Amino acid sequence: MAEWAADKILRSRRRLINRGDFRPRSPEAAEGGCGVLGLAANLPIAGRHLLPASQQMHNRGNGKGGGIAMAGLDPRQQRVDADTLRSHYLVQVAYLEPSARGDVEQQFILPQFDVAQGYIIDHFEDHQQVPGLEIQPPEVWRYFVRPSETVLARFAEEHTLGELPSRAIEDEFVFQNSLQLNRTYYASLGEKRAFVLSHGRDLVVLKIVGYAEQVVQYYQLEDQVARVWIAHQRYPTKGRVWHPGGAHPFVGLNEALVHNGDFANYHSLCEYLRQRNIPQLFLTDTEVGVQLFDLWDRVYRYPLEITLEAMAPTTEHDFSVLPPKKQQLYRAVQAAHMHGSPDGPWFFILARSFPDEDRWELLGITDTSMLRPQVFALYENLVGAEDSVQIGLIASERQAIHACLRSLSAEDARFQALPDRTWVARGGSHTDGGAFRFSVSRRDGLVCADKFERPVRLAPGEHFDRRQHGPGHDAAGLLDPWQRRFLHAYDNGGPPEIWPWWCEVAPQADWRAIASALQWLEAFAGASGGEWEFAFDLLTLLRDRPAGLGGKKRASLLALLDERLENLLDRLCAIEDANGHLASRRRLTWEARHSLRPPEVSERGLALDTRGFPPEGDDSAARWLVRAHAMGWRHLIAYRWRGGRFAACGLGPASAGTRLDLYGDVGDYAASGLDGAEVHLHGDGQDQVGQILKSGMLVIHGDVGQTFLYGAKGGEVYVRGSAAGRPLINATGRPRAVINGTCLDYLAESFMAGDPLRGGGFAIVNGVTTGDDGRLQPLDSPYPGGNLFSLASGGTVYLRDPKCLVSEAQLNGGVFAELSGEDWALLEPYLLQNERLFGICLQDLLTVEGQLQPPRQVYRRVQVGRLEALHEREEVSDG
Amino acid sequence: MSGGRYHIPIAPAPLPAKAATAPFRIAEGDNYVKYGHPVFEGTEQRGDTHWTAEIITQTWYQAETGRIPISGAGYGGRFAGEGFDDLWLDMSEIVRPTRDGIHGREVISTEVDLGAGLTSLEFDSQGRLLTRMPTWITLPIPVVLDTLPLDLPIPGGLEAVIRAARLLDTLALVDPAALSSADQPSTHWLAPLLPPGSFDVPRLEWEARLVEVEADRQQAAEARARYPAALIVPRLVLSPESPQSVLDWARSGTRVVHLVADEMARDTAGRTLADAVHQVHTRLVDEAMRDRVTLIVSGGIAAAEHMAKAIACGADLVAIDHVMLAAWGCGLWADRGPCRTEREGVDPAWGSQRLLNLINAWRDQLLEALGAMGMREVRRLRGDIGRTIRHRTEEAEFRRYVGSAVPMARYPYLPTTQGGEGDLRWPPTLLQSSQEQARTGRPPSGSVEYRVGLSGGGFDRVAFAFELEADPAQVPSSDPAGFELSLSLNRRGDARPAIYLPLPWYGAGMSYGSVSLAVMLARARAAQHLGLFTSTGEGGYPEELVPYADWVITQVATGLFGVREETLLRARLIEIKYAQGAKPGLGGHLLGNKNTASVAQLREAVQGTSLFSPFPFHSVYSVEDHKKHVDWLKQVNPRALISVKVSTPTDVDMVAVGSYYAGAHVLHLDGAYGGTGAAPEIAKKNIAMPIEYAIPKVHRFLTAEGVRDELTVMASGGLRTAWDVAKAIALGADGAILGTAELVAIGCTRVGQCEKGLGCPFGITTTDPELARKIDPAEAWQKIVNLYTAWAWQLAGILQRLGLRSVHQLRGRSDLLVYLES
Repeated sequence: MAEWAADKILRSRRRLINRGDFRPRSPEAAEGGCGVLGLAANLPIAGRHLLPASQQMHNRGNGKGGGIAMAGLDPRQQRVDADTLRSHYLVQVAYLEPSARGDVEQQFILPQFDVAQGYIIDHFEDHQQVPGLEIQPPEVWRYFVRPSETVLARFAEEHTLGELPSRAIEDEFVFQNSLQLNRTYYASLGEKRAFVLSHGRDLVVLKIVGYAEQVVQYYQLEDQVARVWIAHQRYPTKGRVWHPGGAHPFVGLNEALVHNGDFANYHSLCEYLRQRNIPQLFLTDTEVGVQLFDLWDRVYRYPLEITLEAMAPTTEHDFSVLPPKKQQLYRAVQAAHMHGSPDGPWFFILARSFPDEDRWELLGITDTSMLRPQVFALYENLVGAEDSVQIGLIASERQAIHACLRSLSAEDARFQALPDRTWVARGGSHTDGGAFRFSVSRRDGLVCADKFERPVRLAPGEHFDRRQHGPGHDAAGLLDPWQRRFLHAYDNGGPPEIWPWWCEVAPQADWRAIASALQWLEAFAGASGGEWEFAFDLLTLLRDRPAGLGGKKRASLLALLDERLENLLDRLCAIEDANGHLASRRRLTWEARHSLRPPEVSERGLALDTRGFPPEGDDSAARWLVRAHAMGWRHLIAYRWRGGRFAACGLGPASAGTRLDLYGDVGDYAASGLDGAEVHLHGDGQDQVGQILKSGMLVIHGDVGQTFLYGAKGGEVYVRGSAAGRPLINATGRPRAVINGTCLDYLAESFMAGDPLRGGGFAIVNGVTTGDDGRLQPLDSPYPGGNLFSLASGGTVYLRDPKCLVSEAQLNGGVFAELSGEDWALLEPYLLQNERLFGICLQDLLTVEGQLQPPRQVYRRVQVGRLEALHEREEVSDG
Repeated sequence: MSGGRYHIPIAPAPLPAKAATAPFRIAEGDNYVKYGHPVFEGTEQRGDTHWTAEIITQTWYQAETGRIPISGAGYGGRFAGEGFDDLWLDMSEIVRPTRDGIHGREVISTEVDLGAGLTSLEFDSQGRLLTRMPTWITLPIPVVLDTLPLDLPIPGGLEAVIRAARLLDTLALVDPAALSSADQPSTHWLAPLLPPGSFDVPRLEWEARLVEVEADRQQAAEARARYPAALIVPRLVLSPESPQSVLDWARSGTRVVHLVADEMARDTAGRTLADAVHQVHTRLVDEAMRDRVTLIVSGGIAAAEHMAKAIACGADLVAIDHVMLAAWGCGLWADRGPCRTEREGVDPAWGSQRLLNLINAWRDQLLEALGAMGMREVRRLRGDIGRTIRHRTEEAEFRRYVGSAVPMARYPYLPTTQGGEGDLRWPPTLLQSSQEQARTGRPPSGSVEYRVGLSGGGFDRVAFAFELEADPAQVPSSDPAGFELSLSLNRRGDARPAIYLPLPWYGAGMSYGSVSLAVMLARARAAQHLGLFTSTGEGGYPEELVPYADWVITQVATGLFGVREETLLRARLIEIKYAQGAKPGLGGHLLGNKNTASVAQLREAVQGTSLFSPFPFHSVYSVEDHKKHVDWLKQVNPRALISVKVSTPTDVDMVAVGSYYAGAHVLHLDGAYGGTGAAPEIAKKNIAMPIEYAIPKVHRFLTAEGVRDELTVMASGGLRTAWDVAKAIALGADGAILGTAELVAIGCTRVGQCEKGLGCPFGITTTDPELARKIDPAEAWQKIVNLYTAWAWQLAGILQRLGLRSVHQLRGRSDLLVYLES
């Protein structure tokens, strides 16, 4: 039997491994999470748009490793022609010692390659010109090369690779050449003089000891463009890092990988690779991650689905619901690759280029246990063949995605500050596989697909076009009906009165009418008083509640509303303004923060503009909210929140009677520790929201992230959308949560909240979403996860599951029971409150396929079963 | 098989009255012999070095109940040992978090594949699988049942094994000649072991999945012809030739090899199974053959941790032999008595239930270990020595750090006894001298050993050089007023308050639930009196402690029980408990019967149910999450200092520096011999490092990073005396945190029954209101104050002998220590 090509390639690397080689037991520096932003767009995106997101994720790195990957480059900016960019390898060498260049070139560049172009890449002469950059980044030379024919022929002959496609031989040669270069001039234990940053085609990597945005600044990439970008903030635990060899991304060949997490089986993965003649030189698990990917993808030539399965095997409930043929296939993959699949928490983002197809890709893969946060988003504005923009993003936090889009929208009217769709992946899931790729090509634009190659598509729709609809002009009395309606509502019943009318007109109304009406409303509001309150409440209502927009995209509406809301808030009387003695609301800014004082009798609220406040620490907006509360302010609004953490934390136990309304991108840990106050998030929540929540009310007008309500003890919580993984884990006491969407997995693990019918806690999961038409619709399954109520000893989950889609197998310790009248008496008030808050009608929830059903036909009760482990008792003899 | 949950049906299977086993247990209430506790009342007899009394009695307990052996108090056995005891399993912490696998909270797979032998797959251009898949066997657990090891047949034994294999869905290796037609329905789970020359399997229609051959290649070839569908497995004696012979077999197409060590887990050259197997594994890796062959390893696999360690050293799975006899009540040779099991046989239903129970307990312990290591697949543990800690290696490092070495015989020991109360870490004389100090408030009289125990390692193996020349009966003692003994808890120079304690130690976390309220109050009052701290532990903040709030640390542990903004705002020092030395990688565990009404109320949980804290913090899966977590607590309480309590994995230095950069003020290292209210024995003995190794590792790393002086490093986990505190500081800590010592002061004698509600005979670690009355807080707090007063005099005395005026001058002075060589 002819030897398989893959084996030949691996055999040709034999010389790269010595038997006496150093065997790594563990990575050089343990590292934890990171702040990552990746994007892929159907048009070239300039580097400066990565800056705000990277800056906002500073706290996810520690300035000891920042990196950038770019794919889909502009040939002119790269100083080559398009053909050269497509055909040549961009070997980039980082010279830690610039003096090494002569030797490196003489040894590893000039003899092997035909060099079409070569230059030192632009950078500041003095690294201190980049604020905060402490360590001089390496000098980077970029060579556009192809192996010379004779060298290549010799390589192919020596290793009998002749039957391989010539490009495959070339790829392998470049790969091995870089490996040897690194071995000679870098190697983890030897002297570190130079190393290869990247060597793929139409793909470059740059990294420094610093933050990701400093890479952009130092190497002057603000105006450089690429179709695919990754920016990575590293957080190595090793304190002293003097060169960026360990920073991400790492490359295979035509792919660059960044990683968030840590492998638990690093040593055996190295052994797995060692058996395939792949040595480790940088001793980080990220290096291993990309080596595995490159092995399976390029050498073994696995279909992407198989590579993904080898990385993150499908197990548990997810495996058991796969079709038998797929099970058989996956089981074979697992038998062959379990020893090579990384354990521990991780996610990868890869930038890949396929120059022969004029295509580039951004790929996100998550581990099976969802231990690292990763958010995907998609935005498109299809306005004709030439002008359409499509962008896919992956990030550690939603706020980073928003920051990037905000930056784009500030320059380009085709973008909005919010994506059309945001979702969280669950590794190894049977529904989507937990991996998504955004592929962009000149021909097909941007295509998003999951692990099973199923496309992720956005419903077609129209975005507001700021270029065409300049604000402020009312063409031909378009505004009349709106004005009349607004004024009528102002006089009779306020904003809720408008809601049914809005639902009716919104689908038909054109953007121009809506924009003008909102403009009018803003003018009507003035700076204070009843008009202002009315306008503010109305804008908030329209923001919080999705209505059918008849093909208009909601992201645009939200952008319009946010702008108006911010304008209204900006008009409030500044706290330091001595003339505003009649103002019922005051405004606090960074500049005037020290003017904060207790409220006057007439002052009912304080609005805090978060611009300028640091995202954390003693001067953060979150701390100033606590100070304002301590001074007696009872209604606090914070706006333009840009990812800062700990909003509504630290108010203390005596906070009942206070209300906080938060607008913008509220960061992690919001309302953690809440004990009394009422908090509204007008938008999505991120991770660790409502941890140890004790009492009070938390309302989230969107989705919420990982470990929501961890260790909560009480309170009333309402979520319009879905929670990610592990909501209500270890909750005790009497928390009561209504989640209208669903959760990814591990809901109510170790729930200990007593008996809800006797004062304990519960969660209601409705499993519904609001469709583009504004109507309620059930999700595919009210609960897709494999684990529900694991090891719970108290509390109850009420699941809206009229078709009994959730199976016993998903429970571990819990049992299904029928809903009793007593249960319903308990639930109904919460569902009615849910209706008041979100407009999600109880009656609609009880309607199944057009039929109103009794509650026990709609809701199922998941209660505590008898689990041996929970009733572990020592038999005690008293003899 | 990859989906669904694997469940082993367990049921009580007590030993029948007639098979009364040898009297291992010292007291009637003991379930088994705890590590370091005396056995066989009145004798020092402890079985042999491998099949110890602890292992055999724990096997009985597991076979009887199906449960993991869990007990209170810290590990009291030998510091380390030979063979498997030379290895610890590593755990993951913060930077690489563990998995919360126990009781299926998160599924961890224990499935293994035998004979897949694949290194890669081949697909066509349409993505269809081209590789012809070999037949391979998947077992739900990495354990097969070997043939019973004794020559004389045990009546009913084989039947019990066969039945257990079927119910466990694993394989039993059997001598085909011993089978009868009654075994026909079970043949799916039977693997014939063919002795030389034999091929016949009489009376059975047998589609064997796996056939073992004891002899040579020729027999293997013949077996292959005879059983074309089966995996043919050579059974090889583990020896120095094994690497080459396994390689040869693998190269000739054999996909599974069984390596057999002797019953003491040694190869023919006397090397340990762990070393010998790892050598085979490494050779296969070097020759790129490891993925082509499955290694079954057996011989002396006596406990769950042996299974985990054998796998970490390179086995894919283990086969068990002698331990099956122990499961049936045999004392093996540890009791030197006749074995009734061998003579009288076993009832097959009972015998198989005992095996099921044992394997269930083993599997649960494997889950604990895998969880602690942060793994979700036992297959990924194979050969991953990166997840082990070598005692030998660490000890060599430790020895180098300490500097000069002298023979142990030169150390002037005072009389030390063993037997009766206590264990090796806390021998009776140490208990006695501690309680003497607690009574008198003065340093010990010096008539019995008051400085060290009998663990044979760590603090019991280092001494201050001056001790060699001094008469230990002259207890060093000096007025603390003449010395600087204070401890600064905020060295960061940030805007937060400075806190100085008058003495370089304070009290460890003990939850309401693990100890009684009376004990908590006594500790708090003592802390108040001395100006030190005590910690709430993770069971919430009882209102009765509020008057002492300035001296009470609010602990934030993974269960977040009782943690609210109110209790965070009360504290001057907030302690984030990531892990505990006694159970690294595992969450807190309060057994159901200690969860009384008042405990449940404080934790807001359901009375009478076992309470598990998760592991890790589910909001902290990385060092960057860790920073966020610290930031959160700082945000909530802007005046509090933050302490980070971690256990001691090998990368504890990374955790330490990560905690510094996360903004912690205090790093609290809790070593593997730390106390506990309840912890699995496997965790206490086998996971993470002793504190003695962790301190220098962290001290040196932080020093090299240039941040040592900005972080207060506190050590805990097996510190017993003022001497231990002084040694810990000399090794590089700033101070110590004490739990067990305080309990000893008020009467604890380390019986290790803290996990039971009514178990603690002294009413210390109880939640039973009646029993708790045994502790009078008014008397108890004085004892703690007395003990610490005595310590302060001794610490001052030690400084005086060293010619130092300040405890700060002692930090990191490992040159003042000597290593005691055996």
